[in-house]
Order: sequence, then structure tokens, then C-alpha cells
Amino acid sequence: MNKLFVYISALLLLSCSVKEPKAERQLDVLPEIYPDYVDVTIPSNIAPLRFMLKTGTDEAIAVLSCRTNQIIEKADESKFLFDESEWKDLLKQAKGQDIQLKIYQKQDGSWAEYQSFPIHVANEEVDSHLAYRLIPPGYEPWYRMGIYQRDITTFKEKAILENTQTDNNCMNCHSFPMQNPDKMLFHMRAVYGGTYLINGNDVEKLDGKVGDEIASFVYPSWHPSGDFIALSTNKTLQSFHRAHSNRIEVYDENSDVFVYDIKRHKVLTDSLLFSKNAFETFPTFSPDGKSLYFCSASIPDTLKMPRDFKTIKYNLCRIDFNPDNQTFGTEVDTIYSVRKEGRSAKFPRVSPDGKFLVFTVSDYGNFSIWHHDADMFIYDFSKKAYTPLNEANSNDTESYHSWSHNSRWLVFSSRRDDGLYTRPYITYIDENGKAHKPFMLPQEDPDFYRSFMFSYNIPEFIQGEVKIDSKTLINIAKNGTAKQVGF
Amino acid sequence: MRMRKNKPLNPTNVPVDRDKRDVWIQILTYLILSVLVFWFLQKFCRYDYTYDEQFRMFRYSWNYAEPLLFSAGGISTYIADYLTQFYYWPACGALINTLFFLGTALGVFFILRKLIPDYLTSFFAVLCGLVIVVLETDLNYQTENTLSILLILLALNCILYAPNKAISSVVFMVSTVVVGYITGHFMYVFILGLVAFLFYVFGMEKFTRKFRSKIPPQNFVLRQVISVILCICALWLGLNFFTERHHNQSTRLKCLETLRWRKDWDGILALPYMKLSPTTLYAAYQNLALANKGVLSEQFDKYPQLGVEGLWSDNHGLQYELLLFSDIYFVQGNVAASQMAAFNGFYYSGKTVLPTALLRLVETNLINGSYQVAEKYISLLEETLLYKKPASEYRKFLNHPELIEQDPVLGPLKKLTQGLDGLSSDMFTDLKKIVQANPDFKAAKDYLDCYTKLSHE
Repeated sequence: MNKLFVYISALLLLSCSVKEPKAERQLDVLPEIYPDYVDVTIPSNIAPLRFMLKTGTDEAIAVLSCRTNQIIEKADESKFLFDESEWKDLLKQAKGQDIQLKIYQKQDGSWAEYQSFPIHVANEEVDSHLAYRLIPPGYEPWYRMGIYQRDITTFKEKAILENTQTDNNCMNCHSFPMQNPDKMLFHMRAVYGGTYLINGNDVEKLDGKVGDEIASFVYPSWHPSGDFIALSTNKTLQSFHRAHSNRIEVYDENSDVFVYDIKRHKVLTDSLLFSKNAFETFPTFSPDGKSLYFCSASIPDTLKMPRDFKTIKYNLCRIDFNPDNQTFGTEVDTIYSVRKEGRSAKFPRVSPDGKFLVFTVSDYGNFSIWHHDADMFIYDFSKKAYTPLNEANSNDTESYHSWSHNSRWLVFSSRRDDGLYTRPYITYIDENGKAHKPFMLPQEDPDFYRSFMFSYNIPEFIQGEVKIDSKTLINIAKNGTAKQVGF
Repeated sequence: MRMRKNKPLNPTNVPVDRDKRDVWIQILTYLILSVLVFWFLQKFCRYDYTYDEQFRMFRYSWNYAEPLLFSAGGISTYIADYLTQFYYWPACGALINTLFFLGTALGVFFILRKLIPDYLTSFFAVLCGLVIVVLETDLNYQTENTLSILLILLALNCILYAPNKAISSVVFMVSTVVVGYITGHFMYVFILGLVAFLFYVFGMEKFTRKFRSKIPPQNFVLRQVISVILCICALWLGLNFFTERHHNQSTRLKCLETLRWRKDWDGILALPYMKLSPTTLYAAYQNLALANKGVLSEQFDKYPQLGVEGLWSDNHGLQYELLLFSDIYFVQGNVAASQMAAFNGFYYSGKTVLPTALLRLVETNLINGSYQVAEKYISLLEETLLYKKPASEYRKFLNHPELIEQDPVLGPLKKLTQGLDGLSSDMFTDLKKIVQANPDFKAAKDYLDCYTKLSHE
């Protein structure tokens, strides 16, 4: 027992006395670390950016310093597992500055120092929580999935709802108005099918079928007032490629856009949004609530799906919306034109400050998560011009994205990590609309993503925790009556 | 010595020596019964175990262990996963399950010995042991439940047989926490432990002793004979169950799946029921075996054929169907369909296990040039005991398409996919396109020929 005490004390002492080594050699290369946090820009309230050294499992030490504050961390089997409170202290001092990171590794018995690199800490904080769906990145059938929330200032993740509680049905399209966690929308498919609207502790279940025109509610976007939700209704099908790296093709055979009036339980639409000559989808409101952006693809009379799947390309459009009298404008503006660019736009999202609009572009179609060529573009309202978000894009898929409430952070899903499983990345968008190198959402174990077999789907920033109890949701799903919606 | 003075610790009205002898006879009986149980399990249930092996994937990594070790009930899952990997080898499944039988039977025996007339205890104990091994053959039953039962039995025995009340109370408290954490069943452990503890503290044996002494026969030899006969009856009941189910569809399917995973094509063709009671499903296995042997077209007529559904089907909703058809599409050269079926099979239950499906996904991703995700799967498989070697052998293909092209299995499939495009519509159309683009690809051509023959019949 005494011996054990001595060992533990010795170990504790040793662990406390990690010192910055004196390097005998300077290496001319940057360290290979996973996830790649070299030169990234981070918010000052993010959880520790724990990472691992990809080059060998030799003894290694990381030194993070900013002004007078310093963290010296010894690698635990090549993993640098920074303490949360030390990290927070460091970030507090580093706000608006750089943290300089030096990594030493023992190679052939002597210490070698890699090229140091900075981690930039922005002045602006990020929203504290991220909501996402975890699903297998696969084909039509679903077995296990759920909507989760992660406190990104720590490593705590909680389930909002898992489909193991609802007979393994499908649940999707969670959405929040202006990053407000108290109001939420999501759909359930198959068993307990319907659209669920959460307002504080109240839950309303809606029957998504409206007349013969609307079979179900699909892609949502809240009006900033919280009184309306823009939605699309889509007849979506899926097939897989006989031999193509994109694997799967998801396409619509029909789609239209409408606005759901929450107070009146009514659907509002217009022939410009609900046309037989076009597929309209992915609606989103501007932060002032006076514009509705959506994607629209012209369809020829001869169109036959899936035969012509590569010919469907979406314009990015805008139409006026008047929330006071619930009417739409009479003209549609085209922001991104298929005729001009030859490619297809989707997922428009306007920054809460109304200055920028980020959307995804790929060669064709609307379901860009399966398109390796998909990249994000940013539209600057002051310049009336769009450019690719090169600093945030990669050679692989970038698709769904959402803004933080202060318009400085953008979270997006990307397949760059392994080519299949989407992971959430966060990028800083400065006042000029320029993206900075993004970082993958940090995990408690830096090796987590390597063996995690689910995709992060629809990452949405929220300003706090979704507090609704899953039991309440399940009770409404199983015993509640769906409210009918009319025109 | 203290035990002799303390009457409640020798609850029966038989002399201590005889009581001890009685216990040893019972233990010896259990050991003999265990040998029989092992023999029967190995004879009738070996494919249950080899099949189960695929539905867990124990990985030698902290990343895998940590969430299990630090969650209530996770340790029993960790141990169950660990044990199940050994089911791969012949007789290991039967051996581990025999130990489950023996552990349960002895655990129950020693508890009941305190509670009810001693010569009936063996019968109940054997029955409980058999119930466990029967449950273990059900795919929906979780081995962690057996481990939980064994640990709870151990804790109850420790409480009941503690040398004094103080130790018994400590054991009760410690076991509630430790066994409760390991099994995740705090409430059950607490309630059962409390009952055992109260039984011990209040000397409840005084009451049960009265019954013991009245139940005939009192003759020691006769009691043992009755005990053994009852045990044999229990065993007979259990074994009857196994022999019955040995011929049912589920057990046959587990056998076929095991042979398919192991690529034992001759083994599949040699199964007697393939010819004696053919079904479209059996035909699909049989034709897959013939195709893999390269003789589908030549020997097609020598085996029972039940229409085109015996070749493949576009409808595959169940997990074993998905995995079977993944193999069929693969041998046909339809890499995309094979990948789709393997992927859906892999995620079927929400548990991301099935190492053979993962190996298939490694192959399809290598063929398609998706090296990063192939590497991810290889890394996971390299953390297992059984699949480390085959997975590592694929590592050399990462980022080396020229090596893939030289591989006798992956090479022709890679070449074949280069001639395909468009979206898959149905498997027949896909097969036709494969044959049109690659008329020399024998397995695909054989399947198409057989399909044409069967569709004309």
C-alpha cells in the first residue's frame, strides 16, 4: 500500500514537472498532426483542440504559448490531451492574438523541434452549441440515427432524440430560428411521421400533407420573427452509380416551395414558387424577413428522371416576402445563374447581419453531399458578387452550412477527412467575407473520428442547449394528434 | 472449525462429512454433465457460435475500450465482445458456453443449497444452466446478460457464504456497487443482494431447515440417485431442444452464412439439405458457391434450381440477404451493388460490426479508388485479432492502383468498372451491361446465361 502511494506520488510529481526540452535539432518541416490544426483560426470559447502526432509514437512534448501564459503538454501515446481549464485560461489571454505552438519529438534519443505554427484566436466567440444528426453515410435504408447537440465549449454531447426511442424511424431537417435553441423544427418519417414544432416546452405535431399538392414538409428555414417557416416539398428518389466515385445520386422528381404560417396553420405560396415548369427547393429567409431565397431548376417537357439527372441545375433566386400581409413579390431575381455559370446552386444561407450569403455549388443536381466537386461560395450583398470560399473549401465535398448568431463563424459539413464520413468544420468569416482556415470540431479523444462510423449531418449553430425532454417529444410523437394544415 | 460450531452454516440435518461428500458428488456430477453439454453444443450449436462471432467486433484499442469501461454495464459488453471473438475457432464457442452452463449451475446450486431441500437443488441448477445455453443460441439474446447473471450469482454466493455478518454486509455493499457497475443492473443486484443478506443475517435457514428434514427420502444414496436422475432429465430436455432446432431453417442459415464468410464453397455444396429440401435461398448460396469455383455454367444443371430467384433477387431486406447478395454481386462484377449491399448489411442493426462486411467494403473502396475510407476500415480491422492479417494485406494497395490492377481478384473488377457508367436501375440490366462491356468476365456471363435459361423455363 505504501509502495503504491509512493508510486502514485512520484507519478504525480513527474506529470507536474514537464519542462520544455532543449532541442538538439531543428526540423525543417511542420509536424504532421491529426486533426490538422496548423494555422487555423478558432474562437476563444472553443473546447481544447486536442490532437495527435501522426509521425511515430516516440516521446513528444507540445508547448503552447501566448504572452505570459503557457501550456506544456507531454504526449500520451502521441496524443496531446490538453486540460480543459488550462486551455480556457490560455484562450482568455489569447483573444485576438496568436497562440504559438511548438512540438518537440524525441528522435534517436535526442529532442528534435518541428517548425512552430500559430493558432489564431479570434475576438468573436462562437455559439456555444452545435446541433447535428448522426447517420450512416449510406444508401436508402436507415437503422440507427438521432439528433444530437454538443456543447462545443466542452466535450459534452447529448441526444435531443434518437430513433431507437421511436421505432427506428427516420428523423431529419432540424432547424432553429436565428440560432435560438428554444424553438426548433424537425420531421419524422414513416412511423410517427409528421413535422414537430418545439416552442419552449410546447410541442406541436403537424401533418405534412396538405391537399394533393404537398405530400410532406421537407427543407425548412425559419422566418426571423418565428411566425413563419419557409419549406419545400420534394419527391426525392435515390439511386447509386454503377461506377463513379460519387457513389449515390439523390434527385427530385418534383419540388416546390411554400411558407407555413405558424399562427394561422396555413400554407402560403405563389405560382413563382410553386411552378410546374421548375423544381423549387431549399428556401431560406433573409434576416430582415423581407426576402425569400430559394433554388430553382427549369425543367424541360421531355425531362425523364433519373435518365436526365445530370441536366438538372439550380439557379439561386430571390423573391420579396411581406410578413405583414403574407404576400410574395411579383418578380424573381436570379443571383446565381445556371445559364451564366453552367453549374448548380443549393443551400443558400444568409448571415444574420445580412451582409453575406453562403451557398453550395456543384456540377449538377441538388443533393451535393454526394458530389465530390461540391464547394461553398459566398455572395457579398454590398458588391453584388460571389466568389468561392477557397480558404474553407477542399478537394472533397463541402455541403451543408450554418452561421453563428454573430455572423463571424460558419459551420459546414465536409468529406475531406476520409472521403465518405462527413465531419463538422468551423471557419472564421471576417468582415470582408473572407474565410480563414477551418478546423474540425475538436473531440475529447483526437483519434475519435478515425473509428467513428457515423456522419455529422446538418450542423446548426445554436446559442444554448435545447432543453426539451426527449420523453415529451416521444409522448407527442406516439400519442399526439397531428394538426391538419390548410391553404 | 468455526463452521462446525455455527449450526446455520450446516443447515441440513446430515453430518458435516456427509454434507461435504454430498457437495463433492454434486460437483463431480456437474463436471460429467458439462462434458456431455460440451459434446452436444459442439455437435448441434457450433454454427450458432461461429455466426455470433460476426456480430461483435472486439478491438484491441483504448479508443474502443474507453467508452465501454467507463459506462455502467459497459464492462460486461466489453467482456462479451472479448469472449465472442474466440467463437471463430472450432469448439471454442461450445467450450465457453459449457463454462457458462457450469458457472450458472454451480452458482444456482450453492444458493439453492442454502434455501431449499438439497437433492432438488441439482435439478434446478442444471435447468438454469441449460436455460442459459439455450438462450445463448438466440441471436437476439446478449451474452452480457449471461455474464451479468454469473456475476450476480457469484455476489449472492459471497454474501450467503461469508464467514460472519460483518463480512457479509461488506460483500453486499461492495457487490452492489461493483457488480452493479459491471452489469449495469444496480437495482437487481441491490434487491437480490439485500434478500440474500437478510436471509443470512436473520438466520432464515431455521425456517427452511424444517422443510428440508421432512422431504423424503432421507437415505443419502437414494437422494443422490434421484438427484442424478433429475439432472439427466433436465439435460435430456435441453438436448432435445438442441436436436430439434438443429434441423430448422435458422440453424441451417447460420451454417450457410458461416461457410460463406469462410469461402468454404465445397462445404456449402456438400450440405445434404441443399439437395434434399431446396429453397430459392439455398439455391442462391449454391450458385454463389458454383460461381466462385468457376463452374456455374458447367454444373448449373446438376444442382436443384428453383427459378431466377435462386440466382439473386433485387429485394433484400434482411441482413443475411444483404450480405449474401453483396457476395453474389461481387462475383458478378457489380462492385457498386456489392458495396451498397455490404454497407446496408453492415449498418443493419445499428451496431457497426460485421468484420467480413467491412473486409468487403475495403475491397470495393480499393477498386473504386476511395483509398481514404478503405484505409479507415483497414485500420479498424487491424485492431482485431482475427482480421488483422487479411486487412493488413490490403494496405499495400492504398494509393497504388497499379498494384490493384495486378491483383487476381481486385484487378479484373477494377478493369471492369472502368467500362461502366450511369445509375443502376435493376440487377439484371446491370448484369447485361457488365457482360456487354466485358464479355470475357466469366462469372457475370455464367450468371446471365443461367438467368436466361431459368427465365425461359
